[in-house]
Amino acid sequence: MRGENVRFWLPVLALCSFSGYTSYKLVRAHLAPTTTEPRYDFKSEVVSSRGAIYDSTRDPVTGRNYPLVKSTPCWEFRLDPVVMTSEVVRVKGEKPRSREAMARTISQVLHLDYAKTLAMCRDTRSRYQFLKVSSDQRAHDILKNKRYVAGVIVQDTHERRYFEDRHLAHVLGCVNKEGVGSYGIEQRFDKLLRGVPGRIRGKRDGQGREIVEKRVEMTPPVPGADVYLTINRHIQKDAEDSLAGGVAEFGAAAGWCVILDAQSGDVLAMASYPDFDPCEFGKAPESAKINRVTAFTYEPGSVMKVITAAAAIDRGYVRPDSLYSTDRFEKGPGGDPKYYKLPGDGSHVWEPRMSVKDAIVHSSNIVIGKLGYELGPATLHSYMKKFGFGEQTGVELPGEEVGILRPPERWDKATRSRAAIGQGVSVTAIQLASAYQAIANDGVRMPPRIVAKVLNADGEAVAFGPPRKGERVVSVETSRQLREMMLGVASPEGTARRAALRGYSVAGKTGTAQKVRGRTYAPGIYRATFCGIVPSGVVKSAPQDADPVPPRVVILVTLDFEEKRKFHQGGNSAGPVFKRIAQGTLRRLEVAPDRPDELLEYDDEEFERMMESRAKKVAEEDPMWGGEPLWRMD
Amino acid sequence: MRSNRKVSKRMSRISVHTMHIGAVMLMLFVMVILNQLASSSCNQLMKIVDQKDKELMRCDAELERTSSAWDAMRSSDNLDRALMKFGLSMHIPSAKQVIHMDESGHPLPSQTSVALLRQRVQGGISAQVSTHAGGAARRRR
Repeated sequence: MRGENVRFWLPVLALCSFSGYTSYKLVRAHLAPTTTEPRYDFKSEVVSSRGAIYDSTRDPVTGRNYPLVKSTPCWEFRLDPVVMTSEVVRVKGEKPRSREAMARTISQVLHLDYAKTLAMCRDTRSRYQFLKVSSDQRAHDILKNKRYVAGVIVQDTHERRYFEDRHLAHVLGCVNKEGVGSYGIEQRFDKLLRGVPGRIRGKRDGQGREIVEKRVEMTPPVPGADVYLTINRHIQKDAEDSLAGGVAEFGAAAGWCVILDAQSGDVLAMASYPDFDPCEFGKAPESAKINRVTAFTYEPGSVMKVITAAAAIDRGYVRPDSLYSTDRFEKGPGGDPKYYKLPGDGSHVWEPRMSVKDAIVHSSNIVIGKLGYELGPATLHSYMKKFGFGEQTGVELPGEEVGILRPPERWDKATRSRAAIGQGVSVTAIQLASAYQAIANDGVRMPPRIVAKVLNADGEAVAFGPPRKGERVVSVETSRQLREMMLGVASPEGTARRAALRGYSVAGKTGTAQKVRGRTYAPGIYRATFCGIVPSGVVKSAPQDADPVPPRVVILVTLDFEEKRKFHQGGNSAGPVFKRIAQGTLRRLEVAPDRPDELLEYDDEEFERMMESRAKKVAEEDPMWGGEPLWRMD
Repeated sequence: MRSNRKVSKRMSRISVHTMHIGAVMLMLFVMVILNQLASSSCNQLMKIVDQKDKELMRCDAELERTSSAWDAMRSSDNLDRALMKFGLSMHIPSAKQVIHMDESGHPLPSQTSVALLRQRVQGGISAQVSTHAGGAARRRR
């Protein structure tokens, strides 16, 4: 019985297997003929497109922000001269195209030099020579057609486009050939901008091509996140143009400026000159690559006097009208040479006593130096710390410098008075501007930021740093008093007459810091700075107004001289540049003037003349103070 | 007789088995065929999807390239160049030329343009000024 079963089931099973296999092969061969049998596994990475960087202005039509940097799909064209003649498609009745003809086509389509292209086409020793990266569809279509040209390898790639060319180069940075951010925002946000590459797994045919039917996995790429800056590209351009103009006009070697929103601390513009082309980062000189706003420290000079005055007033040690002796060699109790090594005030030390307010307006080294000395290192140091000196501001740019602010225990007698007038300390421009922002914002310092938000591909916000928190540095009353004191600086009586703006009140301070050469200060070589708050926030535009027009922007301009120049002071060189930048910025931001009568009474030239005549009048009344203030130690 | 009976019994059993086997084989065959048909149509669809994907990617890339070209045209320097090419000189209107109004159409305070209009409208009432201001602004724009 068992033998019978075996005899019966064995052929049945064999028949079943045979028929099943045959039918499978038949159907497969008939219905799904594959080109080749897969022999190897196929793995491929799908490149994700790098995120874009936008500015803060919006297109009124689309409501979208303007892109500053964007990755654009394009093609990389390479040349393999070895296969040029063998792979070209021959058309009946036509002569096969020669290397010369193909070189002509390539050079015409890709806008290359014909002689160089021909040389490349003839050089059969080197294969896969780089021709060009282009997004021209016509070039792609022609060069892919082997009837016209053979030997051109076309690869899909992405090109990083910097729409504003050199503008904002120090902020945006650049990417290297591998597509990795290597400077600026591109470097700081590289991980977020890069996205996650996709993946394809499956089988490949004999020629290495993927067999789509055999695909077992496809993870689509996740595009990089988009970074939205607080920068206003129009203000940025105005600032850069004005700065470059100022550097050329006053014969400076370099210059930098930063514009902060007075309330939020947002960076509206940041410029550093000389600049570089982000597409040719490697070719730029090292000195041009430095973002001098964040990655460069310097002695600020007299702009620090406002910080000393802020500390003294906020502590209740002095009032703006408190009088101080202007005797440089005054000795303290017991004959102690108290105010040790104070630089002179030039010839405007004519009055035996001067108020703190006048000391700011006329930039008196002696009065502010004495004030700093009397406050003591601990107090002055703590206020400098509160204003943000000696530490990073946290602005989202790589390589931010800290500056030099030694602990108070290490301050000697000279440092006590010198730090008060901006010597012996080293700061960055962004630190200085941020300190002035605190004064503009009623004593609350907002850490400056340049990135407003980062949105991923789904439009969701991505966290990229600790939350910002404002910190009260001085009281509201102190900040108001400081701004009132600083009003006089950009007036015919002050050190920055040329920084005065028609229609707007300016609360600012000049700084002319001697540069250090070796171990001593170089005579006649300076860094000129002007930092101003516009509108000042202490002037009512009309008597019936309840409140003054609030401050809108803080602008810091520094010009760096390498040689002796006629206009090297903060008021005479950085001041006019500040004025040009401020005029453009206030117009762009549509800030209502707080001195509208001036706009009605004068035009720009008339305003200049009015300021000059008022300055002359002051000179006539007080011959020691007035006239051309070139000799002033501001 | 007995043996014939035996044979016929066995034969009948075999024929029943054969029918079952035949049915199973037929079912198997049909299943294989159906499976192959489904698999084949899946492959065909996959190819179409892949083709469409490629087409979509091409269109996306084209869109990106076009929008990039448009963005490049609107860059600050290119706009300046374009204006210069056509001999146009554009600048931001001065404070005298602009009147900012609130939602109700009244001019905001502290404006040079409004003060200028106040000067012009001698002894003017603020309500009148606001009307004039709005009209003037519209005309200028």
